[in-house]
Amino acid sequence: MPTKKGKERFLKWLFYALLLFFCYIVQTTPGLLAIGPIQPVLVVPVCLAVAVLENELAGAVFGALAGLMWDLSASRISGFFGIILCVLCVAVSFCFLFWIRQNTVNFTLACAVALLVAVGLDYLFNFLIFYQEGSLYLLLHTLLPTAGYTLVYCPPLFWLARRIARRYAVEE
Amino acid sequence: MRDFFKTTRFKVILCVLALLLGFMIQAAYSGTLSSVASKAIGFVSTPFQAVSSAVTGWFGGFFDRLTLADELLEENAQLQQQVRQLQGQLADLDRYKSENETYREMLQIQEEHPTFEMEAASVVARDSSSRFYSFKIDRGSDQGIALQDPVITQAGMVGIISEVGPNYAVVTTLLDPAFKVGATATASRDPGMVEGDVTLAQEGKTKLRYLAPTSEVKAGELVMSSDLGGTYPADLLIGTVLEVQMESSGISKYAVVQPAVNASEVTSVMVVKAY
Repeated sequence: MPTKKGKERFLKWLFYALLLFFCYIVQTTPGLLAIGPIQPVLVVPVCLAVAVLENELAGAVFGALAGLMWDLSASRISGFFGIILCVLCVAVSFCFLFWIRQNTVNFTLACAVALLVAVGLDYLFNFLIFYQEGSLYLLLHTLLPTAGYTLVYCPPLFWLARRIARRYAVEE
Repeated sequence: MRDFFKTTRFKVILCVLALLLGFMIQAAYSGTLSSVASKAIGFVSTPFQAVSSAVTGWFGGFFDRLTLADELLEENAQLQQQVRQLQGQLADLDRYKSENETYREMLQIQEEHPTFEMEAASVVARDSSSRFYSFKIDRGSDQGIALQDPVITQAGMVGIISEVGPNYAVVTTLLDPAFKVGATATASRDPGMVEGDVTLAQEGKTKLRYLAPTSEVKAGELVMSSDLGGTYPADLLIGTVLEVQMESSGISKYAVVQPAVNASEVTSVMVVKAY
């Protein structure tokens, strides 16, 4: 017979996973939340929120999942964003555990740094190395605007994740 | 913090990273971008993406009718008239209009290319960080689609299949620098190769390269695929020449080509499974 704590834990992780999946569907729906050709990458704030609100292991797993989803939708080699987001989530989790207070502003700033790192590595390994001519245009007109637009959705997604965390908080 | 490196959590994180690296190696070894995990995610997410695309399209059409009522009402009535002439009475206008558009394109292309075996597909997902407007369609290996299959519409060539799952496939468009196809300018009959260019791709254009220095290709000529190399069928419309320039090397010329199909706006396509 599952205990109340076990049930609460299961529901918490289920809702986190559903939030991640829902954000992936929304971010890849053509035209939805789009400003011209730019759409936000919603899976990044979600996995970072889990890393901040839970622990580094949860952050690593959700970062890996979010990265694999992003790899599929962005036509990158499988595992590229997975590794990047996994490492970033662990790093962000530690930062918020030891040094940074958990609030929306700090979370949004952390997302901004994480997105800059992810976009920078993407630009370096997928564009600059292969297409030196014209790749800067891609960075300035597609990759960076996508990262910037994603920041708009960080506060509401952090609020949603925090609601889930608080609703199903289990005393360890 | 130092103790963290001795904990079980750290070891599990290392295992996750090793698994991700394994996916990357598997994808690189198989010559595609996808791994088992990506295929599983694609398989699960495709039906939801199809529903989300359909709902978003319906709402977009609904609000367009309010904001551009006069223009769209007139255009819609004309399109309704055209579709009615092709099919007769329609019960559900939006759904049957979309299906009829797809079947009408298929028949027209089939008449022009009787040896083509095609599969109609809808665009279900795009990502703004995807390379050069690549997109995902709702058909895959279960419907006989394979890697490198050409993707076309009635208007012309769109790209090729670069990744395949059971119920989805990813299309690399002809704007991608990795996309190369032998081509011929129709009027001058000069052969060349259509190859994506990073700078031109941002303007929705591509390049016809390796034209002879004495080439007589002119602006306004159509560019069609050739069957050199045997990878793609011949006589698929790629686009129209906008201008001709000399390469920086001075050895050959290139033409800037406006593709016949706007890859960033296409909503349904045909995959050529055999020809």
